[in-house]
Amino acid sequence: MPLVKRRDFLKQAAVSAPAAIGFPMIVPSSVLGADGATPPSERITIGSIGLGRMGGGNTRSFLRYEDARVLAVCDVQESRREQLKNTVDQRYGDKGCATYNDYRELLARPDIDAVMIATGERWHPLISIEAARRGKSMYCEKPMARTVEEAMAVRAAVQRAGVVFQLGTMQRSSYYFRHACELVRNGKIGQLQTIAMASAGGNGSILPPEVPKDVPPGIDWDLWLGPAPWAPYSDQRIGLNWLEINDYGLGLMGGSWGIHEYDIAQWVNNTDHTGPISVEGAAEFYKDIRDTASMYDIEFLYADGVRAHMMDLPTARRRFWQFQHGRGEQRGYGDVLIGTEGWIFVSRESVKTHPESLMRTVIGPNEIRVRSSDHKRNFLDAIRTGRQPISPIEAAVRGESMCQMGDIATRLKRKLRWDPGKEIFPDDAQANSRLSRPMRSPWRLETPGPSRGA
Amino acid sequence: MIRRNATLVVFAVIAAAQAQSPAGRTMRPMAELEPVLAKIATFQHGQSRQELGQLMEFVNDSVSSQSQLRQIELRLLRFLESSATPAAKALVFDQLAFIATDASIPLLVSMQARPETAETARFVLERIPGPAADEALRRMLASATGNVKIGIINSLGRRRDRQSVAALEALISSSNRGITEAALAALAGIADPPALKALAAARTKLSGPLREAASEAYVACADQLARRGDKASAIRMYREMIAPQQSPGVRIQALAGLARLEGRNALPALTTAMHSKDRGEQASAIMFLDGIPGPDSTKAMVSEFARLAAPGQVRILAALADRGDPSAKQLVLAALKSNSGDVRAAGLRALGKLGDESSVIVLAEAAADRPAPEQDAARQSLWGLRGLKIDAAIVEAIGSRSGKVKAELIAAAGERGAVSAADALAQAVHDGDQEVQRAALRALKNVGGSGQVPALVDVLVKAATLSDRRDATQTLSAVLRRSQPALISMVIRAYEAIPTVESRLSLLEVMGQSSNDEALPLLRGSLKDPNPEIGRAAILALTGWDSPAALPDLLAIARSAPDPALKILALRGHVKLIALPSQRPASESARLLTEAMRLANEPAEKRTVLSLLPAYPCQESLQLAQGALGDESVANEAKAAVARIRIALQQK
Repeated sequence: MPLVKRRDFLKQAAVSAPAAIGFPMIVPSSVLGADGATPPSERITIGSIGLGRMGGGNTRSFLRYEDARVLAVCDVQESRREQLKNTVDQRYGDKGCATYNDYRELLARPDIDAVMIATGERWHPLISIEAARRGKSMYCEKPMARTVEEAMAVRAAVQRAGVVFQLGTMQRSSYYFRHACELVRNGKIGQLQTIAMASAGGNGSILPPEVPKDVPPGIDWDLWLGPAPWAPYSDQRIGLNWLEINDYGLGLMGGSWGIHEYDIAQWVNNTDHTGPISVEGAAEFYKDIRDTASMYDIEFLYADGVRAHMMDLPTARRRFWQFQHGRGEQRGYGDVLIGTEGWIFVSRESVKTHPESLMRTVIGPNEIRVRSSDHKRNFLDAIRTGRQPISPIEAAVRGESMCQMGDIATRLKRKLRWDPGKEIFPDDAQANSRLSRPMRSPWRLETPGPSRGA
Repeated sequence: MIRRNATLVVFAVIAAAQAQSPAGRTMRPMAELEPVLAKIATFQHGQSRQELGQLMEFVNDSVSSQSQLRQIELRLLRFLESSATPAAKALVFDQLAFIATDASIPLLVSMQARPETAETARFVLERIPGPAADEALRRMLASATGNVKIGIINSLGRRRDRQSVAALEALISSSNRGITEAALAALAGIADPPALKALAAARTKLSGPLREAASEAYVACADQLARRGDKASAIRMYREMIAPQQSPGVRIQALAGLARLEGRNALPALTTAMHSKDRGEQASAIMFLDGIPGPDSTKAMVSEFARLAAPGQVRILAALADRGDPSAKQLVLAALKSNSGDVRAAGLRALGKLGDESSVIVLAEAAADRPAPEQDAARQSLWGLRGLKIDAAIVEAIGSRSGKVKAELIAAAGERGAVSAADALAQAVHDGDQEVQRAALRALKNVGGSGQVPALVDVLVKAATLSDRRDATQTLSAVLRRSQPALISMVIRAYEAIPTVESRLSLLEVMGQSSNDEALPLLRGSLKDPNPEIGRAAILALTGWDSPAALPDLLAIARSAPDPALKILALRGHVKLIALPSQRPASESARLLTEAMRLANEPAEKRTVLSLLPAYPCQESLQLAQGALGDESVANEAKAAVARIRIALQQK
């Protein structure tokens, strides 16, 4: 939270920060709040941490909003932060965007209200917890953590800091998914029975071995690894392959895509506050630099009898013919929601229903409505009003738990029971031992995790 | 990326694994582990990890047998003592971490002393349950230094090791700041009386940022006590930490705990915090206050409202709206007259939750004449206002109002899906005010039914501008698709009666979007229309069909149209309809795609066909894809298609 008045800080920064040198003589009127624009003191100030594919895109998106201002960017890769700084400065017509290699320095700035976090899930928990401790609201890319324990620690930190947490599961803010959710929640397909989820995978490829090499200049490799086990630098590892390396995440059924569909399953089933009661499944794992699942077929059971299936797309198309509707689409991933009186296929590009008339059903105000059409706008509004955003912390934790449950069940190759109240596998030490991971020193979860089974 | 067909798992294997119960699973003989470990022993980063995957599989296949896991553990320990490369040992540590028992401790302790294995050994040690691992960590703590020491402190904290409290307390005085912070955090996690005493003492001894860290650890310790049921101690500590001399960050964390444990008894503390000069503390206090159910917290918000600045008022209004307590309605109405635009907008949003039929006009007027943020808030509220009498109030107001307010009411009827407003909207499409007309036409898209079809056909054929015709086309299409029975005959009759080309083009589009087979004869006839625009529109209409009924027509045009542009258009439509879900056998789809491929002259069309082939895995598809391998313009796509079809055929 701001410990120093923002105007005082800006005054001081203008004198001392190298980034402020060369501040233009002509200041755009919008910066001063003329013509109905939000005055500077009322803008939500943002720092961006992690500027890769998602983080760079998110940062550029935040530049669109007149009532927000990106003040600083942070990445362990110098080229990325310089590139984003230029983009930000160009947008505002000044040289004011500060750059950081270490997220802790950015979070220490009292003049930053909120942060965008997109560093990869090995880092998300530590940065989120520190952000909460510093009173910053956060837009955190998915998935939020590498383990259930880490996710729970973030939840504890967010709740005790009273800040806003929005997970980057932006499908909740798209028309197609919103319409599907409203149809299901209002009983338009009868009683929901089955949720089928299709995510990336199923191609069984192998990559050539990685080629370790000296860390190139401009990259802080130790900070890139953070709490994950030490590993040598390689272009493959720092490239997109990290998404599918278990030291950093769960791969295709997690951060590479699966979390999006788990999130939708939980949302349409109105179980954001809880989760399934059992999980079983099978998977084939990559055996190259990647060691996460490449092909998978997992089944979850909810207490009310609803079954949820998470599959790679080819498997999904074999098991649920409705996924054929996504055939001409760029990816075809999505969900099939089957009720006693109809079904829905929903993806980023389309929604199909049976009966077909459901496509044009208007959900009235006296029915259940879930409304957000812009994920980042929704986040900014939540900060201003103190309301829960569309992808709040509890939903984030529960979605993450499903990713983890699926991974653990397929690695242990047996059916597991889950207690969504205690968030543990009851009487199953072997499975529970996989709900947490040690962190490379000196990193640790600042908010102690709960005692399991307490 | 190398394709590896041979290693692609046939899902029958997965299904077989699923079918087996743990008890019934056959253990793999230990002898199978030896060649895997032999290959791993020389592993260097950058080499193939194939064997690592096999080791992981072996361990995972054994998890249901404790006796086999013990054998694996002992074997892996021998491996760690061998001359295997450090990189190989790191891989083995990863697997050992999930199965290690006390038997691993002596070796792990010895490896902790070596820098290259200290961290990975600790990772395993941290996971071993039971007091022996605690004791080992405590022993190692004394001799460790730097980050290794911090790691051990972290592990002891995570394990809640009460016997390490004295050692951790001593480390608070370390000259290494990282060690001090780690010790404070570990003590907070342990949270027994001696740990609590140590943290209390640290708060007085330390200064600057470390004192702040001690205070945060003290609050975290209270959180732990609360989780364990010692609420009285936790409340006492929270109250201590909300004192003005604490930093806002510490006060907020303590307030959160207090609100959680004390509920309404925490209201005075939260009310005080609402007036903090720190914006973050104020925001958090309102959030915590809102988390306390019941009228007392609503009352506290209402009574403090006037004393807050605009940002605080905005939060209070949002909270009151979500609480749904009607006693706050007067405050919300008063907020509409605030000097602050943000507060007025928040008031309008709140009215959407707390308002009733009497709020309809207030909101419609605000939607019509307020600046953007308030206008948006008013619209959203009008569209979302709940209650059984709201739609009737809107219909009544549509009849009595005019201009912008009427247009807003009409738009709201559409957004609300208010079917009861359909007749009023059908009348409004003839309103003298163009803005009202347009709003009515758009709203009917959501609420119009069979009864409004005649009026909509009339509007379409009389539309004066392109924009009006577009709106009418879209609305009529939507209404026809929703209407039962679908009145497509009315559209057909209009087409036959109206000679204007523009209207006819729009009506053809409507027919296409309706996908009603009754319109097919007319569309087929239009394909031969002497006006090329009509012919093109008919092709587009058939392309939009939602069933394969139009396939033969499109194929015929793709074969014989004299105009290459129309040919391509028809071919694309043909392929699009093939891709629609159907019960036809894969070989039949392949035959249709073969014909499409034969007609395709451009790489773009060929690529589309190739991309669809894997969805129909059969020999005919494979042959077609293989046949395209020699075509340089699509060779890559053909190669990918061949691979994917083969995979699909294997999995069949």
